[in-house]
Amino acid sequence: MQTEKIIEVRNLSKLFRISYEKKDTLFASIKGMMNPLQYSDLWALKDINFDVNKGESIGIIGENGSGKTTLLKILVGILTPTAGYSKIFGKIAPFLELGVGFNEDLTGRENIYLYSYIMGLSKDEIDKKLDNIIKFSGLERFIDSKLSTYSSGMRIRLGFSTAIQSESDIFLIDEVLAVGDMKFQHKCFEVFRNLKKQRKTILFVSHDLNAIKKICDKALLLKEGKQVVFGESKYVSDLYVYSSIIENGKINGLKGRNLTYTKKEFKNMEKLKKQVNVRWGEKEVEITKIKLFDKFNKKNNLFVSGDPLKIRIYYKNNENIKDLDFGIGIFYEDGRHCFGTTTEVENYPLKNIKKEGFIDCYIKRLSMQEGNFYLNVIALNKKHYHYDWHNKMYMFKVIKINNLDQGMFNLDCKWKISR
Amino acid sequence: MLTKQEISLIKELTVSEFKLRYKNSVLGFFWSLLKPLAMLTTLYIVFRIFIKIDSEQYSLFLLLGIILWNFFSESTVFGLNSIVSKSGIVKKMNFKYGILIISACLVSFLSFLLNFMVFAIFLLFIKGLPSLISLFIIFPVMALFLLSLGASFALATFFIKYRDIGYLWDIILQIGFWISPIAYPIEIIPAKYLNIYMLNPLANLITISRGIVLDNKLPNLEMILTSFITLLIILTLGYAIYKFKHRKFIEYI
Repeated sequence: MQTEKIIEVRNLSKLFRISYEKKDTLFASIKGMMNPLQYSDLWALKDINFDVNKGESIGIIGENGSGKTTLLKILVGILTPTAGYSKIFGKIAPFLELGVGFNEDLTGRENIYLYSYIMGLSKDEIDKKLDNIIKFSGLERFIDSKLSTYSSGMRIRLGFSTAIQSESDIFLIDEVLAVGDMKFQHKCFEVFRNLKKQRKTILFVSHDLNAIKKICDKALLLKEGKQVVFGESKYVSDLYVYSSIIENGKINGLKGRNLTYTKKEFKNMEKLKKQVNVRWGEKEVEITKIKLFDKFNKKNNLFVSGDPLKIRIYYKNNENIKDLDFGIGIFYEDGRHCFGTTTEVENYPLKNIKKEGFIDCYIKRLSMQEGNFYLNVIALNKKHYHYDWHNKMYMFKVIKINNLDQGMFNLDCKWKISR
Repeated sequence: MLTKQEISLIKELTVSEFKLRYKNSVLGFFWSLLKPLAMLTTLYIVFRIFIKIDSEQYSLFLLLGIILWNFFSESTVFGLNSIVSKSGIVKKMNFKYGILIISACLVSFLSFLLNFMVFAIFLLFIKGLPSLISLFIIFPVMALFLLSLGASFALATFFIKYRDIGYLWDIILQIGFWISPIAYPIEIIPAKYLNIYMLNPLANLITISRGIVLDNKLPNLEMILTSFITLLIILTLGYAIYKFKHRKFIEYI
């Protein structure tokens, strides 16, 4: 398939000037002329560069406020860039999302016509497509009701159904999956597949990384208006999960929408920490701290199912103990024992124990699907005397984004027909 | 210029908004007449009976002035709000936002036509069949439409960023009502102020309209020229303001 560039974005930057005193009245503007202007500059986008070829679908990922919508608005022509440019070699659908109507008092049907005119369809064309649009939206019963009676999901469905009928080369889809129900989501995926078959380009904004991986060939990760990375969608969404704290384009940690602990989880954790017996032992060998590392070797406590985990245990051998063994235990949130092992069980000879140091435990593949997990870390001897037992003092979270498998475990599994 | 689809959009927007305005109440159409008729009655009583203004066919004179004025004030107020009131779609869609302004003025124009029909019935009733010269009314009415459109382009654009333009325009309209010859004939203006008074384009257009419909008299060249020039200035200026400013202001919406 020959490549044919359809979007070119170079050094694209957008500055928003936010005044401290809001000058949204004429009076304030005139008053403002006497005083020096007071404002802060906000680069909503800074130096964005990427190319899109015909038929490629691009996911745009980033936290809220990272500039995703601003980027789409510039591509579509609602905003003009402060610096740099974006070039479109083809026809771009002229809107981001259609959750809003021209008039709340107009019916769904009337709004379809208004949307379609904006997309550049003629009345005849709309007449022909109207039945399809209504059928796809699944709103047959409501199509002659006022828009004001629609739920937000119904609005998006109406808008999306209309939008995909346009004859554009490039479609912008802004979080449409987030509001549709399961049935509608499946229909959307069907549409995306068809659009791809027709070599249309989709720019897809979503927090649903699974959908991004499924639909998009490439993805753009934005952080505070800066382009962190543009590349293969699987790689980029992985990076996003593992690196939601990204400072100046460098990756170091984690945080993100739906990816951090909920308040309740955090509370539970704190409660558990306060329980007695969370730690016992005479600390002949003391575990001073532990760190968890993700597959990018960054400190983290969020992991993707199927990915590796490294547990680093820092110890102090206070009494120069020779008979030493380290163990870990992993528990489900509800207390079910998930996994446990020790250096002895694994036949790892503990030699050269220093006075102070650390030992790493590599888990090649986190087989659990998703959930919150507690971690025990233990320093003991071969007779099961506990020097220092940290009982469920640590917590980490596993999410699944690569698969649609069900159940507790993610087992390596292949299907094959053998006659 | 506008494409075929954009013209369809204007048509659809205008017709649907116009229908909505009259759909929501049983008395729809009659409500729309209530405002001009109430104004007519009040002004008639005050000027004809209290102040004893002397004019033949004062009721027709007054009614024509009122509906022309209402057309101007209504279309500019709707025009002013046209973009901001649709901020939801303006934020999300890229199209010629001027379409919203044009459609707002057209909706007011349709209302005006309804009012004008009522005026025509009054005219028939009081004066009998008008002469063919009355058909020339179409020109000052068109001019008034374009004037409203020009003003609306400027107002709608500024209103995106400066929201107090709304209050300001309210005040200007109130003053405008009294410095236009609506309730009184132009003859009561002292001759030395007349030139300044006539700078108000409404004064010119209302006077021309009354001449055509009530006195079967075509305006003189000077009046036509002044109207034409003021109209041209306001329309060009309004459109230029829209054209060069609205994209920048949209960022503030």
